[in-house]
Amino acid sequence: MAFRVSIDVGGTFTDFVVTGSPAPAESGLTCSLAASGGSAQPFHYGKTPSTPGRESVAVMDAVRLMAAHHGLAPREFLARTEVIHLGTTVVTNAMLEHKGVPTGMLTTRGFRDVIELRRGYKESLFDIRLPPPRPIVRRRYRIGITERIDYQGHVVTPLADDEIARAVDRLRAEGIVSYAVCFLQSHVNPTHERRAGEIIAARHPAAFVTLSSDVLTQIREFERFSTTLVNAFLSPVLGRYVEGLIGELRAQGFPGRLLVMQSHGGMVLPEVAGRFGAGALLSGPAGGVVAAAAVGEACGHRDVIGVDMGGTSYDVSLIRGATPQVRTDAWVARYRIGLPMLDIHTIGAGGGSIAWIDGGGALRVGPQSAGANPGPACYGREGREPTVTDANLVLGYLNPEYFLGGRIPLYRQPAEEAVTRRIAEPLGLSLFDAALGISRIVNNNMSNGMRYVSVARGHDPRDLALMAFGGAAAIHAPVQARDLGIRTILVPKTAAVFCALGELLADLKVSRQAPYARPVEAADPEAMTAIFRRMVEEDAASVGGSDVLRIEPRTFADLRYVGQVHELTVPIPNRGGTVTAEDWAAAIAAFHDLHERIYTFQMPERPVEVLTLRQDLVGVRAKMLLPPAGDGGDARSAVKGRRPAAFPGEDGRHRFVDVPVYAGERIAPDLRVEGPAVIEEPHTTLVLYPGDAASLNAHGVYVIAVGDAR
Amino acid sequence: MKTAVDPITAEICRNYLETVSQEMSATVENTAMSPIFTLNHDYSCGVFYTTPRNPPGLRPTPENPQDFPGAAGLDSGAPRDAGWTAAPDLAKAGPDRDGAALASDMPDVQLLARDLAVPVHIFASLESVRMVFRYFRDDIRPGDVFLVADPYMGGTHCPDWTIMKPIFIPTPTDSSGTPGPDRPAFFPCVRGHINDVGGPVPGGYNVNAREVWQEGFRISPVRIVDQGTPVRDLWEVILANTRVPHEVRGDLHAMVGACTVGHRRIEELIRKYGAEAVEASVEYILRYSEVQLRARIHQWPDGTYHHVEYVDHDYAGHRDVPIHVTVAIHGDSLTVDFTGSSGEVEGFINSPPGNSASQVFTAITAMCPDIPVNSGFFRPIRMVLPEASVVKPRPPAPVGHCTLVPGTTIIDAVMKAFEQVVPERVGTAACDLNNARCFGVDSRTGRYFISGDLNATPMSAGGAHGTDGWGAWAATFCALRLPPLEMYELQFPYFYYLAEYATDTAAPGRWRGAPALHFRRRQTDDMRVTIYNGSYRHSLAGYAGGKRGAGNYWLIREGAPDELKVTECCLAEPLPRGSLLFAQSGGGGGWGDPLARDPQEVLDDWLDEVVSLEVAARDYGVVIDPSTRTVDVEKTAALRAQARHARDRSPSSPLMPP
Repeated sequence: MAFRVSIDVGGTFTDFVVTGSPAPAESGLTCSLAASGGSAQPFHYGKTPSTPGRESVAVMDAVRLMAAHHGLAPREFLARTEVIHLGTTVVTNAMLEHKGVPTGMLTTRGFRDVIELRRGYKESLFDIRLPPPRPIVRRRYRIGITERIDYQGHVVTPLADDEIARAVDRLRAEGIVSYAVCFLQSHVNPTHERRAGEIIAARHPAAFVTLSSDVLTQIREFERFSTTLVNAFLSPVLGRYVEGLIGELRAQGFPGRLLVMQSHGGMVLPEVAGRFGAGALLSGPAGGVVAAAAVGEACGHRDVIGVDMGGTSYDVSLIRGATPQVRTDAWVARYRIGLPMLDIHTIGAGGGSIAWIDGGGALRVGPQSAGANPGPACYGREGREPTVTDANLVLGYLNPEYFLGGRIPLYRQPAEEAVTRRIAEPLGLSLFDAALGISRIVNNNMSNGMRYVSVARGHDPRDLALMAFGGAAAIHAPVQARDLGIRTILVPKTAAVFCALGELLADLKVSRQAPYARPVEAADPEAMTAIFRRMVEEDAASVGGSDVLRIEPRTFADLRYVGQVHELTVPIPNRGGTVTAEDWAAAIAAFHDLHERIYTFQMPERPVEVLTLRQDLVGVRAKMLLPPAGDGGDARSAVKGRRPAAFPGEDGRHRFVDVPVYAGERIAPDLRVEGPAVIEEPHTTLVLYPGDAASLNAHGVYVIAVGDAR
Repeated sequence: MKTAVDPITAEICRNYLETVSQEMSATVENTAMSPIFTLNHDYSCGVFYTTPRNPPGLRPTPENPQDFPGAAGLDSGAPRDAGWTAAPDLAKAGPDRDGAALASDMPDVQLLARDLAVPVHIFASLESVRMVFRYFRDDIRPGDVFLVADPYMGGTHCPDWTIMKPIFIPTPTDSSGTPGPDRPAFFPCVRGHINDVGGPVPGGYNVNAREVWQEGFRISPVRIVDQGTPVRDLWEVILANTRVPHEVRGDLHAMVGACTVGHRRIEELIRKYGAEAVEASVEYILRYSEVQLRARIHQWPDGTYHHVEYVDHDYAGHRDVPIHVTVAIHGDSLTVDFTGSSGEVEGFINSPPGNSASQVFTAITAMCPDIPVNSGFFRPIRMVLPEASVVKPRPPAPVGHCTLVPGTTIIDAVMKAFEQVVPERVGTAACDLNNARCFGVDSRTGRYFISGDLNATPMSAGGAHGTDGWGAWAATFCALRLPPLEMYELQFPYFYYLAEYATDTAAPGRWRGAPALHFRRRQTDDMRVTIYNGSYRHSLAGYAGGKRGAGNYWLIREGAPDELKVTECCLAEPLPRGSLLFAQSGGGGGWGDPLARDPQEVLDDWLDEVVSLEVAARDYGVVIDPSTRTVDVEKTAALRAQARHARDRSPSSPLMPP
């Protein structure tokens, strides 16, 4: 029996999921998992503390725990493991802490400040004292090279080979170990960049070389150069890490393959991951979004808005047609990343987010967070600032004896004191109103975040199900659902290991772009097919494997009305990679519709042009479903107590209502729980507003039918 | 209006409206056609509110700058210089001439929220919304959309078009219990710079303009969508008056689309909380900013502070036009007085009041960047603009360049006055964007084009307390975007050779300015260029002992026998196929004494080729040993002592006009 393993290395915890063990164990942490074929396979999950700076230690800890669960030695366990999926924050941390490798840049002579001019972007519009971003490559290590290619790809000035050799010698002497090659118009004609790459490789073989035309084959030099610099800065870090980890696992007898989660929500081979470190910046949180898509689909909801509430942040993501939405215009640590990344919108609204009163007398929540240490005031440590968790405790949503399954005791007194001292007294409010104020402000911030990824992107939230995973998301979800008109909330029991679960479920995926600027009428389906085919040839090996059911090319085009400068990405239907004239017409029609959906109007009479072709080559794997958690009791036996908690009455005003508290582990699939009520799971708490009704479905997911807006 | 609203709901409304403005911006950016909108981001979005009639407590008062004179009222001016018409009789210009007295039953207009914006639009759009109210009064209906673009009717210069869409709410029942008619209370609004609005010069910026009619098509307030139906004939009139109707049609769609987005969102807010609660939040929203700004001003020492900055020239042969600013701080409010500034000038640098005020608010916002800008922010500030002056011209004085010239100089002058109050808060907040407009027919497409290439003029970032200047524009103007060179080569007949910082051009300071940028482009088609340069002799100011920026100039047909250096202006100069265009765009000023700059930072600048060895010694008193790549500490100490001594003996005088 072979094991399939997923390990997600987060900042605080390293989560793991393993499937394929011989028999379901008795542990409460064990559910069963079915392949789409139907044969139920048990699976097991758990957590171990992360070991920042020495991530592989936690990985090996996770392996030991999984092995122990199956009564095996780590070596035996690994010997029987066919695949390990890895989600890692190594790249994210290196970026945030500016700990990449010493990097140099070769660029077209006359343009070495493109990266510093940043197209004029400054993060704070009126702050003349805002410092610059930390340079990845200082100006002295950005060297201009004589060469120039025009927008059609014609060589205007030939490449000066000798200048490259001199530049490499100089940079090498300065301790540079990674090179970014960024020439103008290289996306149309990469020959100069490739030649430069060869010269560098010959002269400095140990160095890492990355070409802008490889990283992001598309127009707009700042976006491409920025992504390339980040890639040069980070790839060696990820490469070394993954290589070291594989070495360690191999030494322990691991014969299988390791796959790494990418920002776009697909898995890649370690070789690919190591070349495109910039593609792993969201390797951590991406898994959760993939899981939300898969679990949502299993529950019959292909359009989902996912919310993940942690200690310091609230991550919102959108899933349409069971596919997580991606964006290509993200900023990470003040650098532009043009690679496709899951569109995860983060706001500073977590359980530890601090409530405060600003200079204008307004109550604000976050982005400052009490973090895990000292943590919210109710942790009873050094925390004196009122947080969202403190407000939730005062309002009766949280059980002081059963926070995180009882692992952290909460204290009411310091919470009340913090809310009183910092908020209630200065604003002249009662303790209850102050706590409610904190809750309302943070709820509003969350709802705004959700509007940002839905309404503002042309998606009507009323068509979406809200999936709440992570921490206290399900406490706040009834309010967001009402704010946005959402009718269904989904809360998976497996939320605690959602990222690891997502990695297990994710497909293999490689994303590519190719420049193809012309009027849509001049686009040739055969030529486009040929471009896509070439990408398939190059990448097919990267997305194959014994567990891959089929390889699927998903094709897209970036279109715009002639004269516009921003494109919309629309899918081009294809038949096994072949694009026909009808497919192309369908893509153009989809563009007009999408334009109207997002921007309220379309201009069918205006000419449309294509700029870039995109392809996601996807190695589709079997989708696994989550069958029931097992037995349960009746409604009464599931109620473990009652307590007063804040709920809105008929008049819309909140007041304390004495409500039943349910023990999640005693809830059977057929049980209907009506609000107002609280359901306590070991890792999360669900709040049901009056009119809401929850039941546990066959996949271990609470489905809440949202009552009328109040 | 009397409904009490709890502060939490009010804060939620405030936050929500800020979000609405952002969403409107995204719509404009992603859908507009003109590169000036979409690539350069020369537009702003906001949400406005109009009070019910006779609103107690919100009436404009003399202390209250809301009643800041809105241009010259309904007077559209009379021809100015031509001998074929009588001189305008300004006394007969109309009852609203000074805008000082809004009709007693006129609703007042408040700015509630705005998104990242070109600062010159901040205040000016307020005037535009007011003007629509004056014009249409009771004739505003649901589904209408209005456009206004007249420098003397709430505008700045002809190309800045303002689009707005009313949102109606029920009027509270009166004492007799009968509900009044619904009234337009909220206005999502977009103001953007249109690429071409007719007039003699493609792209506007007629350096020869001597009256406003020579600057483009003026559009008094008009209804472009009538209860949901576009007014086709009017659209065609408007589009007939631009050289690039295909672009402008798209821009109009984009602006109307953004207002529709704003409209939908605000209606959702009203549905959720009720019109009364949202309306009752307005005063909270305004006070929120007012209280914070007053607290800040209160910390500043009372007193009166003067400064004079000079505009290079007025494009009509007059040099060194003074902008005289007196800042008087008293308790928690302040006055900015322009008495002593130049009178109205002949050339196109007259600044209508809305524009002048916007520049002042830009400076003050840059000093308090954390306070949201809305009408409450304007309350503690009183402004005095002398009649018939360069900062408050009479129609039909030409105004085409006012947003930048004298806008830049106004911001610097205000900042320099505040330098004496809060030096660590001041610095370059201005943008001396001295642009060129190229126009011609792109033979690849046969299409006529007008292009202002910001890549030629991207620099204005200055040093500030704690940081060197960096990036491109000063922070306040960073809503502007540099177009991608690769995209411009695709869209225009251009081929770029250079767009890079130049060594020894950064304004020296304890924290230096960003270097100047040198730009070189080859034309791959025949075209013409109009250049309206400034900030050559009076470049961006330095602060607290920092030096001035490097200044701007152009070389037309660089290297050819007929090369022309342009430091002031030129009109429709030929740029033949194959010719080169060169530009220097100077960075902002330095901050603090250059002799106090950390020698290590000077060494870094040398290693990064920002300064040469010679300039490191001359401007910073730092001696670098190039062989060891280290600072010679002893020689540096000696050189700096010597420089300080020399300076003490003959303190340098500020740059004065000849």
